[in-house]
Amino acid sequence: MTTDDLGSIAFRNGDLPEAEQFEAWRALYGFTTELSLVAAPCPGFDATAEIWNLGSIALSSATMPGAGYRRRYRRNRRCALDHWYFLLEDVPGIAGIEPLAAGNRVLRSGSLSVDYDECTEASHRVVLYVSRDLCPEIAPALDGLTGTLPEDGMSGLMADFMLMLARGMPDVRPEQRAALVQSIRSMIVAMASRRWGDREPAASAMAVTLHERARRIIRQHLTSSELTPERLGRAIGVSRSNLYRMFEYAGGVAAYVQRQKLLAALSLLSDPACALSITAIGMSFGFEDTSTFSRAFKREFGVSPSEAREAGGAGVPILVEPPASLTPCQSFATLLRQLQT
Amino acid sequence: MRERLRPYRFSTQPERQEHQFDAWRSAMETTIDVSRPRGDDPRAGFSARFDAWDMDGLGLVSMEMPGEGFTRQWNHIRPAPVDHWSLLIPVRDSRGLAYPKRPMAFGSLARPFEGSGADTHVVSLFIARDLFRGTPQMLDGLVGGLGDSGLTLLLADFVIALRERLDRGDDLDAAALQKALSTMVLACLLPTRDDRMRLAEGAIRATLVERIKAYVRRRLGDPGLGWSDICRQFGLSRSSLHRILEEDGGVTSFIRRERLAATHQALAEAGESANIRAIADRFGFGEPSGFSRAFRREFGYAPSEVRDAVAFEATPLQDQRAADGGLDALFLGLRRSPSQL
Repeated sequence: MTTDDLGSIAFRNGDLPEAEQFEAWRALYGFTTELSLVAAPCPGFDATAEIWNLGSIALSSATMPGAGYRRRYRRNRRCALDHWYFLLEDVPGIAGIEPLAAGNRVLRSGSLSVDYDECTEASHRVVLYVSRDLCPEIAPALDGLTGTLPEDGMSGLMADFMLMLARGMPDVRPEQRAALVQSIRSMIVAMASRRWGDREPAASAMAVTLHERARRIIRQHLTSSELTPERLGRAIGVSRSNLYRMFEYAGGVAAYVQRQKLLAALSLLSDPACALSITAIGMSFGFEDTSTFSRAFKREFGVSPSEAREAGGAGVPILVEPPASLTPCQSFATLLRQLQT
Repeated sequence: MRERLRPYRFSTQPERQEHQFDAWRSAMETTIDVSRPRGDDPRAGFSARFDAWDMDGLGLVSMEMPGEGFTRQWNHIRPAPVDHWSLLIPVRDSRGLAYPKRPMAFGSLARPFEGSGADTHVVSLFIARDLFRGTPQMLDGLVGGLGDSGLTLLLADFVIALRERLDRGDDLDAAALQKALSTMVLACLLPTRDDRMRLAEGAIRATLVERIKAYVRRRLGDPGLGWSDICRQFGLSRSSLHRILEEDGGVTSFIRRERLAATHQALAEAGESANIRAIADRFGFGEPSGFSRAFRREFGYAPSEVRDAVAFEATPLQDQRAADGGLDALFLGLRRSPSQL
């Protein structure tokens, strides 16, 4: 297994002895999924996976033995993540059609926090893991979008898009990844908005984890001085240390709150219709004074609030890059754990 | 139930061969001047078609045309009747072969353009200016060829896949697609933070041009309007004012053209009852014969012809074209639905 400086992972097990190949594959996904081989016509399981870390989205593209190699994917109950996923896999047995081409594929979506238990003989799988922080405004729609999605219409276009992503990722330059995240996000929002009126988000209430409840409370109280870790812990009924662990991926709950405040400030500054002064914006998110706000802002985004306003006033919000503090991912699990806005 | 996206379709095939190119030409004559090289034999025919969709202010146009031996030229029409942004994606070359890396170009229908080619399939996006309301100066700085970075190629692939689904009649959401595509185009055009900051500086300079133009347009009827008045108003020297308006042909020429455009509009609005002398006078043209000469030079016809044409036509010219369903109809009608404004 190799990782590059952007935390992307290239995995292959072809060099291992046949007897160890499936075990290595199983371990790669073990953090989220309990994977077992139900049937295999021959020994060995020669597979490759590429996983790209885009900060708030991860994309994985895997190729493995297909027809006859029946695998069972069950959710790992110990996995505490609640990212959404979109899974595109081929349907083996249709000869003559390119893998993952329309007519030879199925697109499913769901949340890592909801149980699944499925068998497949797919030879190609493309999975998009999406942090809930990327598009909280459409959370109910995405939570309601569980299961197999139609090949026709917006979700079919999403499948086309995922296939292009898997093919095109090697050509995307590192500095374009933030822009790519915006593109992927806009496609997910477009697809979810299509479903919004069609399904009741009621089922999603069950899927909302403690973690998501904490994040919702934080988002609703960003301008309140009463948003403290103690109060937050009491509101959702967890101890301070559990709360810290919950947000460990973001450097703890305080760091998470700070980042959300700065993101909200950025979004105000990027809005040409917002007439609030920079001082007023900083104060409203509880920063003591303008220089404290400016320093924190610049540390997070690399530009000052006034530079962000100038760029944003021309209509283009500064694209949020993954935080520089992100350590190089040693494994898929770390990568998934660190997905955030 | 949402209404399905209905295409504008046009084909020259029903025409006799010698009339095919003329039919093609007239389908877009209001917005783009298409011509064939002198000496080409019209009897060779020009079997071409386009399919176009208006997705809430964002137009997707797919053109299929004959290739080798059927070179055509296209030119800007002055004054430009529309000012949409354009993104051209050549799909197949003159021999009908798919471009492995598509040489995309970004531009504006408001700016002078010209070119020639024999590609057999081109897909274009036309974006109503008010979709990128905040960004015009930034985007003006970007007009030209786009690199073949991973992100641009992904956008091109996506647009082509979208065209196939539109063509098939997939159930797609126009408003959602418009938002997703606008985001993707912006993310693709303005990929990195450094570029954005550099462009923001340009945008601030460009704002001055826009402010000067707005000032001129408000005072077209003021006989005192001239460079000295503008210099005083904006605190500029005569030479810097000239430099700022250089692209528009200098101060005097800009003011004259704006005045002519205003008289044209007033003539068309007044119709039969128009008093040409009074209208010319209202926009600071003292001498009637000088006005007629300048008007004819700018538009290619006399002021009286505008009055007579409007009086004669029961319906305005633009509506007639919309009923014909040419590409002009799409261009002239392309704007965001009023509810979104």
